[in-house]
Amino acid sequence: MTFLESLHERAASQRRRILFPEAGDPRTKGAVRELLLRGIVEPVLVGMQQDAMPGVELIDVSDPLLSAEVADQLMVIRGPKGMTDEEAEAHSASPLIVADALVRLGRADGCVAGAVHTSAEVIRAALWLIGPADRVRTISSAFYMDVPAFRSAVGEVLTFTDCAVVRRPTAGQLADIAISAASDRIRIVGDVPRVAFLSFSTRGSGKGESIERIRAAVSEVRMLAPELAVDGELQGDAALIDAVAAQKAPDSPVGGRANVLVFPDLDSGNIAYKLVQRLASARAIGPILQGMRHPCNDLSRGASAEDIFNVAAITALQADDSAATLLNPIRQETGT
Amino acid sequence: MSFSIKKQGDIVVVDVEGQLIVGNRQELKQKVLDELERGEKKFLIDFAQTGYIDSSGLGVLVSLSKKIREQGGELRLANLNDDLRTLFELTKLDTLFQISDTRDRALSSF
Repeated sequence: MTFLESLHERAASQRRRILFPEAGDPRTKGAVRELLLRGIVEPVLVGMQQDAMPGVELIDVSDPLLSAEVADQLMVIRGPKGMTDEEAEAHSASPLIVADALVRLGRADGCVAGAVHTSAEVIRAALWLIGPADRVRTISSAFYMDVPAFRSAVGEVLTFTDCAVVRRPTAGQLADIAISAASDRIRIVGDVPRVAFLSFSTRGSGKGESIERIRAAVSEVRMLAPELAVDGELQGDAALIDAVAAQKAPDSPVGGRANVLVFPDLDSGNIAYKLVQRLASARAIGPILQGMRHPCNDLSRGASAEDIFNVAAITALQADDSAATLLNPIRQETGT
Repeated sequence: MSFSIKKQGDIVVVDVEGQLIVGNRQELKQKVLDELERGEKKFLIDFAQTGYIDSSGLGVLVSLSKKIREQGGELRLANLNDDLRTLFELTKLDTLFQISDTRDRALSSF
């Protein structure tokens, strides 16, 4: 079974209620039709009556009672930060805002948007209404790279993070990125995460600010999630290839076997995922937002119906509260 | 559930009986705004008889607080039970409102 087949099968077993606030977009409609036909999620359109599709629930944003309720949500969250009643009312007509408010209220499990809206709009709405999960300080993202066989006889899925959101993460932000990515990997891929913080240096072969930052992040992850296999700094080959790890980092808990690659900054992460996508013919699924209280994903505006379909399946899996989060038990014990 | 309004000196005191929720929050908002339009400046909402406030109720309280402040007035809250106090703390609205344990303390705080 391929990764995508497994993804679809596991999402279908939960059949989460996922909102699509870009209801007029033909690619979104195509994905919704397929999601419904194959029973992957319970898709719900959020838009105007003219966007309705046969057999698909539509939440009408022109309903004045709904708009008033959404405006109330915005006032609770943004009112203390300066949003006026009038601004909240104006925002409450936006399908994107309505969808995130409904997820916040627990009337849906997640939201998928971004085929029409910009990433800034999608992420702003998500931060306003959904916000970070308990004890998470940094919202970040990951790509799930479905790569051809390179260290065994079969292809694999690697998590690349963060390639889309945090430009130059601090040590604390890097730790958040790693823990969020590891938690989501358990939900989305369903295997044991092994986290490598990548660098140009392996175990002190180089020196510099970025290496100090990575080491501080590794220490923080070890403190917050001691059950997680993590190491750094490691070069890419030491992280991925056993023979190299045996030479450069022989006692590493993840060397040669890493499946979550944490990049030191957005430049390296974004460059790496695109190179692997183009040069190694990997399928890049994402960016998947991680660290949110409830899943809300941002699509590329170039997304195809198939991309939207796959992101919806991932969003459904992210909604699984029963999966281990790695972070919560540890931080509760330490009181942080 | 209902709202009763009375004047105590120059303070408008609103008692919320039962719940403040999506189904009735507009009624509270309108009653307070009517008083504000009449020129009242000091408002106390007493939750001694309130068991539950939903997020729409909270939204209306934030909205009223801003509108009253814009008119140079003040809004105080009193008598939140433990659950409601926790709700205000979780939503960080305890920093927006001046909240008193009793009606008397709230009245004397103006």
